[in-house]
Amino acid sequence: MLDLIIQASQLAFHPYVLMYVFLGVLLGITLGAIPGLSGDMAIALLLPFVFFLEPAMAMGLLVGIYKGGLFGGSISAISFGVPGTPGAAATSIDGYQAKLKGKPSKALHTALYSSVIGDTTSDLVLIFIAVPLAAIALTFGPIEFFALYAFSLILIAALSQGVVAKGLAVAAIGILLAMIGRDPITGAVRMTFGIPGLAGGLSLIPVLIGIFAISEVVFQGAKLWRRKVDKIMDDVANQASLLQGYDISKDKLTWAEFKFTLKATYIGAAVGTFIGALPGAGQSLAAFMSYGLAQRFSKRPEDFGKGSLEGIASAESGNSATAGSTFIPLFAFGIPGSATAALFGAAFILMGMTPGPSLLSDNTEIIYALFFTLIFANLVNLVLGKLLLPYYSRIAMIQPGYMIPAVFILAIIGTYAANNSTMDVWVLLFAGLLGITLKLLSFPLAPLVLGFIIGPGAERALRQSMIMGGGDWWVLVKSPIAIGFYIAAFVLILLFTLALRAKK
Amino acid sequence: MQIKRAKIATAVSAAFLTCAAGLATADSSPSLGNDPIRIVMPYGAGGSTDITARIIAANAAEHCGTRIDVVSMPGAGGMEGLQFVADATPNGHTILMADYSATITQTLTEETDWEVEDWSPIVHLTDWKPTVYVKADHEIQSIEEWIELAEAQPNSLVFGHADPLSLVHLPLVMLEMETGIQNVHLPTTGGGETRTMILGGHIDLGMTLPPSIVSNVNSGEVTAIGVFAEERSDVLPDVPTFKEAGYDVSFEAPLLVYTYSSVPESIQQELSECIMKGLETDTAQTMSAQASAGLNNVQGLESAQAIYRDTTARVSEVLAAINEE
Repeated sequence: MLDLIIQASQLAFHPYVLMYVFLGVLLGITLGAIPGLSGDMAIALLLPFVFFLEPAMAMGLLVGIYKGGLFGGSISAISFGVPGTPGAAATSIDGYQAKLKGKPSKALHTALYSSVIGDTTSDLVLIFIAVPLAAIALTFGPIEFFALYAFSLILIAALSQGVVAKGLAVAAIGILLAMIGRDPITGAVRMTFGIPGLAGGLSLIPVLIGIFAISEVVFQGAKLWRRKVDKIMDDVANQASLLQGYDISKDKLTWAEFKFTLKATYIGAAVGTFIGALPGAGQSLAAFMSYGLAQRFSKRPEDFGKGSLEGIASAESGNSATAGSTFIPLFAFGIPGSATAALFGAAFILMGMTPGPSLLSDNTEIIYALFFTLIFANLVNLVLGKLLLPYYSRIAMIQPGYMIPAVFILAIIGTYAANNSTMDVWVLLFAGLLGITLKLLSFPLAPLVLGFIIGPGAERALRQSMIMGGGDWWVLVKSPIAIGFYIAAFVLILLFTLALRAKK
Repeated sequence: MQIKRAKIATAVSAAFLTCAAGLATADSSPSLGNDPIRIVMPYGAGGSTDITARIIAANAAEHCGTRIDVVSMPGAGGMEGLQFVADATPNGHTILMADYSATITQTLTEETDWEVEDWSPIVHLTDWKPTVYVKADHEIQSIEEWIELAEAQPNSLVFGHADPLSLVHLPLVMLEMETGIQNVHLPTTGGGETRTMILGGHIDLGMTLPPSIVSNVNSGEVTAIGVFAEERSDVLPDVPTFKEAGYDVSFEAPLLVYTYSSVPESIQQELSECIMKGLETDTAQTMSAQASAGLNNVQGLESAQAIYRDTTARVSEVLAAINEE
C-alpha cells in the first residue's frame, strides 16, 4: 500500500503534470467566467489531445479545467448576475445582490473558499467511500427519482422569497417551457407551434442566460435611460459615489464573516456530495437545494436573496461539492452521473481504461495519482483564484454604460457558441423578455429556472413509473425512499409556514 | 486614340481569356479545395460518435489536404445538424456523420425539407450490433428463457430501450412482430440510464450497443443474452445472435459519413477516398482499438450506399408495421 502511494504520488507530482494542472485551472476559471462557455465544453474540445498526452498529464489538464470551471462560473454570476455555468445559477441570486451593494470582493472570496471546501469534501468522499455510496445511488429508480424531483421543486418554490404561491406558479412556468419539444416517452414533437427549430426543446443555456442576464441588463439599461431623461441628481451622485468610493481594502472578507458562512458551506458540501453521487441529478439541483437548506438553518434567513454571504457560500459549495462525487457512479459502475463524468469516461476510454468495477484494480496507480491530482487541483484553484480575484472584482465595478453592452454581446456569443445554433439566440431573447415581464410583476426567477432544469427529469421519471406500474398512481408511494422524501417535503413546508407565522 | 483602343482590345481579350480559363476549370470535374472541412455530428459532445468523428478529424486531414473540424449540433433532436448540412454550399466542405436514426427514421416520421434519398452515404465506418442484456441474477439468462416467460405472461416484463424508434428500439419491435411476444416498452434517456435501471433491478431487460456494457459483462454484473446481427460481436464473442437461437431478426446499425446529394459526385468520391486512407493508417487503427470504435473494416462509397438502401427498406417495413397497429 505504501509503495503504491509513493508510486502514485511520483506520477501525480511530476513537474509536467503539475504544469498541466495549473494550465487547466487557469483555462477553466477563464472559460467558466465567460457566460455560455463552460469547463465541459473545453474538456470536449480537448478530448482528441488526450491521445497524445501521458495519462497523468491528461488527467491533470482535464481535472484542472473542470475545477477551475466550477469556480469560474461563479465569477460572472457575481460580477454580472450571469451564471457562467448552469451550476452557478443559484450563486448569482445572492452574489449579484452583494456586488450591487459594493461588496464584489467579499462575494467572490466567499465563493472561492466555499467552492474549494465543498470540492475537497467531495473528493475525500469519492476517495474513501466510493463503492458503498454508489450502491445507494443505484437503488434510485424512476419512482425514487420522481420523489426526489418533487421534493426539490416543492422545497425551492416554497422557500423562494417567502411567497409560496408565486414561487410555485413560476416553477410551473419553468416546467411548461421544458415540455416544449420531443415527448420523452412517445418521441412525438409537441408544443412547437410548427417551428422546426423547437423540435429538440429549448436549450438550457439560452434560457438561463436570458432569464438571469438579459432581463438584468435591460433593467439596468432602463434605469440608466430614466436617469438621463430625468436628470435626477441624487441618483447620479449615489451611483457615482458607489463607483468612485469603491475601495478594495474596505471590501475584504473578514475572518468573522468567513466563520459565519462556514455552516452554510458545510451544508452545501454535504448536500452537494450526496446529490452529485446520484446519477443525473446535477450541479444546479445541488446548488439550489443547498441554498434552500442553508436558508432554512441560517441565523439570518431574511438576508437570503439580498446579498447574503451565506447564500453565496451554500450555493457555491453545493455546486462544487458535486465535483468529486459525480465520479462515484462512474468509478464504481461505469455509469456517468453527469455530462462531465461522461466526458471523463470518454477520456478514460481513449486512454485505454474502461470505466467500471475493474477500473481501480486494473489501473490502480493512475487512479490513485488521479486522487492526488483531484486534491492538488483544489489547492491550485485556491491559489490562482486568490491571485486573480482582485482583477475580477475591479472588473465587476466597471461603469454600467460599458458593462451592459459587454454582457449583451457575451451572452449572445456564448449562447451561439454553445450549440452553434441561431435558434438558441432567439430563445435567449425570448427568455430575456419573459424574465423582464416576471421581474416587473415581482415574481422570483430562481424557481422558474429550477422548474426548467428538473422538469424533464421529473416528467420522465413520473411517466416511467406509471408505465412500470401499469398506470396505477399508487406505484408512486410503493418505495420507502420515495415516502421518505414526501414526508420530508411535507415536514419542511410545515416548519417553514409555522416559522413565518411566528415572525408575524 | 489608337493607343486607347488597343488597350481596350487587350483588356477585353484578357477578360475573355480569363473567362475561358475559368470555364475550362469548371468544365473538368470539380474537386475539393483547401478550405477546412466540417464534420457535423447531430449529437452532443463526448459520446461514442464524437470519439469516432475526432479520430477521422485527426487522421484524415493530411489525406484530404485540409483541416477537419468536428461540429456538434444536437439542437432540435439532431435535425438542426442535418438542416445545416443540407443548407450548406454543396462543395463537400460540410459533411454529416450519423447513424440511421436521423437520416432515415426521423426523415420518414417527421416533416423535413429533405427525403431519405437526399443523403449520399460516402463512407461506411462500422456497424453497431444492438444487444439485449439482463442483470446477472435475473431469472432470464438466455433468449429462449425470455421468449418463454414473455409468452407465458404477456406484458409482464419491462424492457428499457433509450428513445422510441431509436436503433436500440426498432429491433425489439421486429422481434415482437416475428414471435408475437409482448413486453412493456420503457423509453430511457439512453444507454447509461438503461444500465443503471438494470443494475438497480428496476427493469427486467435492456438493449444497448456492446462497447457500453463490455466491462459490466466481463465483471459478471450483467449477462448479454443476444445480439441482433448476422454475426456475433467482436467485443462480446460469447453472446449468441438471435439468428443462432432460431429467430430471423437481425438489425445492425451502420454508422455512415454523408454528403448532401447536391454535392458533385467527383467530390463525393474524393472525400470518400481520403477519409478511408486516413482511417487505414496505424495511428487511426490504434486510436480506434483503444476507444472500441470498431473502425477496423471501413468500407467506401458503394458499400455505404448499398447498406443505406437496405437499412431504409428495413426501417420502412418496421414503421409500416407499427402504424398498422
